[in-house]
Amino acid sequence: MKPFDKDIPVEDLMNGELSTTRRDFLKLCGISISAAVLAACEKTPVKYALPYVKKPAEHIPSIPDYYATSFFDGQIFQSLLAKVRDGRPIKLEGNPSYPLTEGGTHVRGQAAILSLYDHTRLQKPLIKGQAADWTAAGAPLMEALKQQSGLIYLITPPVISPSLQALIRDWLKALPNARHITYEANPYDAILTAHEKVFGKATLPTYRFDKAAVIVSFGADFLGTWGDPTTYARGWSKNRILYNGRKDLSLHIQFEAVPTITGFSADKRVAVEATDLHRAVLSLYNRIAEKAGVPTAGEGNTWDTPDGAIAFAAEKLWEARGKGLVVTASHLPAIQALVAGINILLGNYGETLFLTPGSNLRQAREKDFLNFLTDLEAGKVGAVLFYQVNPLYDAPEADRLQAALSRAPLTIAIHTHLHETASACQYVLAESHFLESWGDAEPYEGLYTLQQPTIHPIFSTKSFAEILLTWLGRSESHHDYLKTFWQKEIFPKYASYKKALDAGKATPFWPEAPTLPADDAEVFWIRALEQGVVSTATAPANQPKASWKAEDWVAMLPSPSAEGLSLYLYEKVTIGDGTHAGNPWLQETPDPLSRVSWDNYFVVSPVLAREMGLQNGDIARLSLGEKTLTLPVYILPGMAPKTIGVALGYGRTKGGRAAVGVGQNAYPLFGRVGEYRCAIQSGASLARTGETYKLARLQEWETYSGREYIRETSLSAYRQDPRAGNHEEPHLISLWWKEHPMPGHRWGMAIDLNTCIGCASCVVACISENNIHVVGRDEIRRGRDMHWIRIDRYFTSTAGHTGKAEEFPARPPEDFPRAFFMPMLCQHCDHAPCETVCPVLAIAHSSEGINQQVYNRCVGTRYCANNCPYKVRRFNWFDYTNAEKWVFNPVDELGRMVLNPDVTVRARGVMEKCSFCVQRIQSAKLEAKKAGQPLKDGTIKTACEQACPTGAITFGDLNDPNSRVSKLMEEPRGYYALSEINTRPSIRYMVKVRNTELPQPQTT
Amino acid sequence: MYESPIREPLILGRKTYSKITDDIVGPILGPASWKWYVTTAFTALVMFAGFGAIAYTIWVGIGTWGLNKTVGWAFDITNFVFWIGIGHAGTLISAILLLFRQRWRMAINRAAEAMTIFAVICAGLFPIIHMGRPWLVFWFLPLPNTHGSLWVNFNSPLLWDVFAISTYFTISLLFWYTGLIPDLATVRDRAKPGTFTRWIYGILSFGWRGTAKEWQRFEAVSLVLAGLSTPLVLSVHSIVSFDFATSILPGWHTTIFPPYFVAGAIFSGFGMVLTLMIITREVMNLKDYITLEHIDAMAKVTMVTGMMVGFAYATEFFIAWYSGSYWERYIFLNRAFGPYWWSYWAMVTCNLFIPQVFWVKKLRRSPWFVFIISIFVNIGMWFERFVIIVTSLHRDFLTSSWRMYTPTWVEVTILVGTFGLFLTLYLLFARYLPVIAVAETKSILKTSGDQYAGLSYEAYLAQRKMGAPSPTTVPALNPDEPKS
Repeated sequence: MKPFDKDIPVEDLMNGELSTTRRDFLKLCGISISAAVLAACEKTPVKYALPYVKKPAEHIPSIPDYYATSFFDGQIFQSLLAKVRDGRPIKLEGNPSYPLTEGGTHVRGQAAILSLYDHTRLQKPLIKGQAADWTAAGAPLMEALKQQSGLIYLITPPVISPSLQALIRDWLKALPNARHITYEANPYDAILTAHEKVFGKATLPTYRFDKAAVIVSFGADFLGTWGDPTTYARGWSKNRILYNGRKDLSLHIQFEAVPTITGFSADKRVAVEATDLHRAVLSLYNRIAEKAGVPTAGEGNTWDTPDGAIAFAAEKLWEARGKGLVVTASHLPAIQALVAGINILLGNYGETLFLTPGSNLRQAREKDFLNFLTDLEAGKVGAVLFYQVNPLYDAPEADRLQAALSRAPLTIAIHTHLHETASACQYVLAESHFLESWGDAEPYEGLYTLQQPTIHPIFSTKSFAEILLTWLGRSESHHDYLKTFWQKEIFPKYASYKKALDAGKATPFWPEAPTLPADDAEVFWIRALEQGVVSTATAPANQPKASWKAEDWVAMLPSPSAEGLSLYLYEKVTIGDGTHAGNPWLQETPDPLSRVSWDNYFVVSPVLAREMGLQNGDIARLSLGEKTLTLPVYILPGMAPKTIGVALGYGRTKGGRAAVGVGQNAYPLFGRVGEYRCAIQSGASLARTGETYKLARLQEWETYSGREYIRETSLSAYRQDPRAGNHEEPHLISLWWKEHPMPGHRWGMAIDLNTCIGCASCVVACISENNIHVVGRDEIRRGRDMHWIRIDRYFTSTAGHTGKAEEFPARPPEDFPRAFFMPMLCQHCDHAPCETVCPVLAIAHSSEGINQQVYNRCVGTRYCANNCPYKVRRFNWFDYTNAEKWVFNPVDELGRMVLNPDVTVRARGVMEKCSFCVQRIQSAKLEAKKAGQPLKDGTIKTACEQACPTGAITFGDLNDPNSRVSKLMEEPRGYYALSEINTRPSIRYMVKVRNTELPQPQTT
Repeated sequence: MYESPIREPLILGRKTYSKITDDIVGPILGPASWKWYVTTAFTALVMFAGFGAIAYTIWVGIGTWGLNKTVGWAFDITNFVFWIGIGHAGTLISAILLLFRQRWRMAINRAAEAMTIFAVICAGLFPIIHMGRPWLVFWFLPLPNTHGSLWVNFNSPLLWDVFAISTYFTISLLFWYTGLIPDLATVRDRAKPGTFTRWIYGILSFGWRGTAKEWQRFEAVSLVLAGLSTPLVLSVHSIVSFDFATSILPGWHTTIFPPYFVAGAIFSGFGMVLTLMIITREVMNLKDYITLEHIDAMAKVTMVTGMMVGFAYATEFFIAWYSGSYWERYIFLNRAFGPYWWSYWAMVTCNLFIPQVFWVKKLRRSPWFVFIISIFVNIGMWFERFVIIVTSLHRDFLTSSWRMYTPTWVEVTILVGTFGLFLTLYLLFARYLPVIAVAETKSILKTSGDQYAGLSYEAYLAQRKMGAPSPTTVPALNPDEPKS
């Protein structure tokens, strides 16, 4: 019996004659696969994580520190707290100690952090285009300046820093033929001139909107771009709230040509042609003069709008004498003086507006720049130093400057970026970012803030003060200089102020300013740095005497031609004068009114559009004398019919990654009346070119179609019935037998539509806090922005009646509609439609009421976004972390330093949305737990709440009956958006109450 | 010869059993015509273009499509529902008509069921490729794991889809394959011994020997699978409709969707079956098997289901008005008169108006006319899903979300590519597998004794030569049969 069925070829095996044995095969397999694997492996990149050898005791990695600092870019002043994490600042908040804003910020203040981590910044000083080091730009350069026989001009934005002013004074003393002039891209010289002539003090007044019961503005966008908008918004909002027992609203009337957020937040908005604004001011003055019993001016002109708005304003202002405020943004001193005259007659000076203490925020006198230009062209100028200013971009005479600049033998620019003007200079001194510098500021007389660096200078840069110190041959550091200055100059002022207060001899002008110890200069300095704010202004403050004669001014009023269209050059809230045009966050944040991002355009009225057959996106050419400008058209309801608006700040050719190639430069269109730049021109014409351009619109439908998520009422109706404008919910049943148990905290939010002005600070704050990607114009055109919070802007429609939803077709907006701003973010619904439909459970409802998006579980089916009735969910359509493809997204090597380490950066294919800043909630809960204390209301502020200048957003614990948000939830004005579909949101909106009767369609 | 006056024969041409095998199995064993090669090459090219577009999408991101923050689904889910709907006809023909003992189904059920499987394959692509992170598709499966276990969300209709589609695919595949086994054995037995063909068909037929016991089991299994498939006809598309019906969007949030979708699925499925069968019968000379009767019957089913769909449209409009909800009214008026009005009217015309021609018998029995109508049916049904998805999404509750949707070339290429995939698979099926169910067809050959006229005339003569008593008359030929 054979042991095996077949013979095993043992002989062959032993002799190795089998072609391949199994063992050989496996060996070959093994070695080749391992070789392939090893060859394919890249060397794992080694990253170093180095612990401190000697850790600074007060800095704990991953626990942020907050440093008080301040920021002034020539336009917007912000008192800030910089959140510094692991040695670098990652977020800017408002400084709650600053009494004027109580912690609110402007949208450009929120975005300012991004410009720190901009790799297109100047990294080294440049000498004739070549990178150099600071030794050549130090003493040798000062020597070169001393050698100059011609005039030396130092051109700066308004210098509000007392320490820097002192240095400049010293520098001017060292250079006898040097002079310092101030330059602003959108100057307020008219106000300065008017007040100089009338009161003898050339200063921007301090406007106290919180003391004003009646506000009339002629074109001044004081909530968005005019003056010190964050301060004004805060003040304005104090008289717009209707809780905490208040039953009164201020009356705000806005006369303007181009719609602004201020105009649409007003109770009564009157569209006035740009060229009629001066008539409106004169008419108001005459009516007030009549009531005051003084002679009228300008042949007693009492022009009025068809519905008598000026008469109405005059009456209300007169009733509220001493508690009213009239402002205007006009660039002509005559009009500013007329407004000053109105305020004088009403007794407003010393009550709602003050020249003592005045504001330092605007100082430029236009004739100074024009004289400089004349001197330059005459060859009298030996050296020019441009500190931050950019006249080669934003001066109407940029051509002349470009041509004449070469005549100056020595040109120096000092700025963080290589902007248009710096590119034409021989020496470009790389300036440190404000977050890398020491400094101080005095935005209002007697109110001081400090600036301190939050990071070691990233590049080889210096602050302007450091440069001046070097030039003056002083060896002290900027810090030492500043500290000495403060201890010698500011401390004594504060000490005497405090003594006067303690002795009862004076009251503080800003009572909420922090109190500091005044015994020891060293201690004072440390505490001042901590708080960031020092006030030495007392009240009551005697105002300068006025000598006002109408005849002085009326002759200077313009008489624009009635021919053609008017042009109005305005500033957008996000871009301003263009200094920040290179900031991608600001370019991507849409203009609150048009909801268009990444471009400027002609703003035209629907009336004009119908006449000319224009549609959104049609490219048109504007002709003004010999100047032309070609831009796409945007039809904005509320625009005056014969006026065309164009935003400044676009069309830059240099200066930051997002500036170039965006929009067209409108600065050349500025006219001059005498020496004053005038933003209003008449005699313009518009013609279609036949081409079209797709604007990047974040919102395409303009009206709310009468749908019930926008609710408004009038003040009179509200006084009679606090539930006016609101309605009961239909009986909403729940099919869930058990609601989500929320035994501990229950997070909720209240948003007051009365105080939301649509300024978009919250949008940029959220972007900054939550690492939201910037996607660029093309993606926005496709409807793919990534903003977690947005401000929807709705107009009323031609249907004319309110309270009834429109059926098909939904009507277009009225020509002169009311507008509503509605911040929309994830509502954290208790019956969330998104939670039930996610197949992989990437959405959970926390036991504290937060709707949680779990990024690492999301597979991107997008059903949740489809099912969200509020459409607040955002999908990552591409891999936005690829810095080469998404050039505006801060994910490059340097840019990613701005990212918040507590928030995941989302990958491609993942859904994201507002998380109620859960990282802040968790860290606050942890702190409270470590301290063994219960969590106090107000400890947790979501980014949007913290940024809001008017305090429209309130976040807190609904399970705490004493929290602010719980009390707001009980307000009769409260309603849930889309309550009818029973999503049970956690965010409650407050009915918008206007101090006017409704409806209020108007015609011009 | 006595012909039953009530119905026409199900199989024309007086076939014998061997003739049936010849007709159906012959093309498999013989060489394919050049036309097949050219057509398959073309459809394969289209298919690969689609695969390329899919690869591009997966590599770069869903951003290559035209979707945006408001319209999160468009072509992807439209195509998904379209293809799944098409599959339902096959299952209805295979399963429900079997249970109802409709013997005419035999000629078309194999191809129809194959069509179902290919349609489900095409449909199954979309849930995977529409995901933002398709490499994680296995997260849809409720597998026990070490994360707690982390389960899937059983409340989500997308998950029910996973179960429904996978069940549907599995059952359909089993049913179809089980039915194929005797036919594959036939092919094996007809193939020349020792060839590769014989070997491969041998493996595929699992050693079927055709014993009585095997047949008995075969019948039992068929019945069981038919019983399992039948509820799937109704449930699968109902579950797919739940993707929309369980959401809150006006235009989606409606209880009529399950019956409406099922009717629509059968409608579009029959449309596709008609499209394919008319071509197949022409090209492969199967007119005796897929007769005008079949076309007539399928046209009637098409029209009935089309009218059910039309009734659903009318109901939706009525309820939109009757409900008084302005969300609902707006959506329906927007569908008909808003910016996507052209897609809505394409849908209504193709689905409701055009199939009405089938009231006319002559039109029902004209194959080329029916072919054209069937194309329109499928166009209409694609637009129906497009209308439901895109018009409901693009304008919903908050007017600030309203925006338009435009597809990109990537999405269009993927759609066309799935047609390429479908047709390639079908062409491969037609070439390599018996297009008609041979064994089942044979079972209906002799439904009554006088239909023993399966003898061809030649065989009859041969029989006579062998001494059979001569009849007094020459047997009358079937009056419809062409004299051959």
